Amino acid sequence: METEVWAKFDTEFGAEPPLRPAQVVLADGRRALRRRRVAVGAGAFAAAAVAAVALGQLTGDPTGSVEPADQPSPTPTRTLSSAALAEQKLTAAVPVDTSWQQECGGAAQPTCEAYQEDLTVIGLRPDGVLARVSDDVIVSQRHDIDSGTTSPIYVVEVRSATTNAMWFVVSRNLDGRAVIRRADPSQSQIDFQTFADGLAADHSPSGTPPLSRETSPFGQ
Amino acid sequence: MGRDQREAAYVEFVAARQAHFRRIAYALCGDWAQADDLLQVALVKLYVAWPRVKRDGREEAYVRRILVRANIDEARRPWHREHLVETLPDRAESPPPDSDHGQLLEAVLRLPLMQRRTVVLRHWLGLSVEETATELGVATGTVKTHSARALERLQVALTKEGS
Repeated sequence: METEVWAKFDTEFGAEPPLRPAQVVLADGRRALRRRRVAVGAGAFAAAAVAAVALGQLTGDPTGSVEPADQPSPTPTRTLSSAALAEQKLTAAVPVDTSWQQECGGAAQPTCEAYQEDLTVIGLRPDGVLARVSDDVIVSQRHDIDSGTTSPIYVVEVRSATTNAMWFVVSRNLDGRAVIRRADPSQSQIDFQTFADGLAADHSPSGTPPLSRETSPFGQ
Repeated sequence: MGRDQREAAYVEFVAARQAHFRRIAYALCGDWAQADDLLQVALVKLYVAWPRVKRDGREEAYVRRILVRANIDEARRPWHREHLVETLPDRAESPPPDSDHGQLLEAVLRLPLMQRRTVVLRHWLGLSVEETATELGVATGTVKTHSARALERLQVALTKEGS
């Protein structure tokens, strides 16, 4: 087809819905940065909490609690310790990949703090391994779905101390690119396991929260 | 460059180019609401990466790439696959054409997804075969095949429309 035909393609669209003002778009960008700052702060707090629990384990405190030793409360703290330990194991099974830091901190690049504010906290490394972007990211639940390909679909709950948990669905396309979707459990009427089971069965149970697309933090 | 200057440059770029970007998104997905969603994702990402992208002079390519990848990701979501239903919806298989659209756009929107993406990138936006292949994450031969088939379909469709 002739080149001039395509040169006029912009005129083919007819009446278009109104665009959002650029200042509103700018406000969206600022909000994204603010959300990331909150997440970073929350992550640091969560890391400190997990470290405290871990310290309790290492020093022989079977409760793993940060309570004073003269105030034992065996039953409830054992439950907390068990949950924290399970969370630690899940988190430790997902390595940290900081390769995204090549995109920040240099000359004329954004600071890594600012860059991290809009970074998806979990993703797939090029070798297909599920990875976190920093130690601050805590994995509290996980369900791997066999997708029938070489790469499973990972459904994970990422928790922090001061923010609500987030659900992520991480998979790979046929061309090897990572696909990351995020859901807000506070908008869900089903629990994590039901959510994961629905994905495994390739259907959405009633009450499934909406999923939004995220960009891979590892550049795929 | 201070924050105010950076944001002023960003706002100027968005104001000048977002209509074009939304048309790209619409040509890819065929739905204005979804095109708005794709555009919003792309422009928020652009804001975060603005200093680096602006420095490299890659604003256009950056936004275009996010639009294309977001569109591909959206179409490949497993929960977007077709589902069997007991009763057929009371509507035609293809959505009715928008009377505002030109014939070429209508024909483009009726192309299969990969052919449509190829046509948009290769012929409308003028990317090379290699650049189109990189954007779509496919081989150059695949681009050539989709491109040839798409142009053939468009010729047939436009000939029918004209007769």
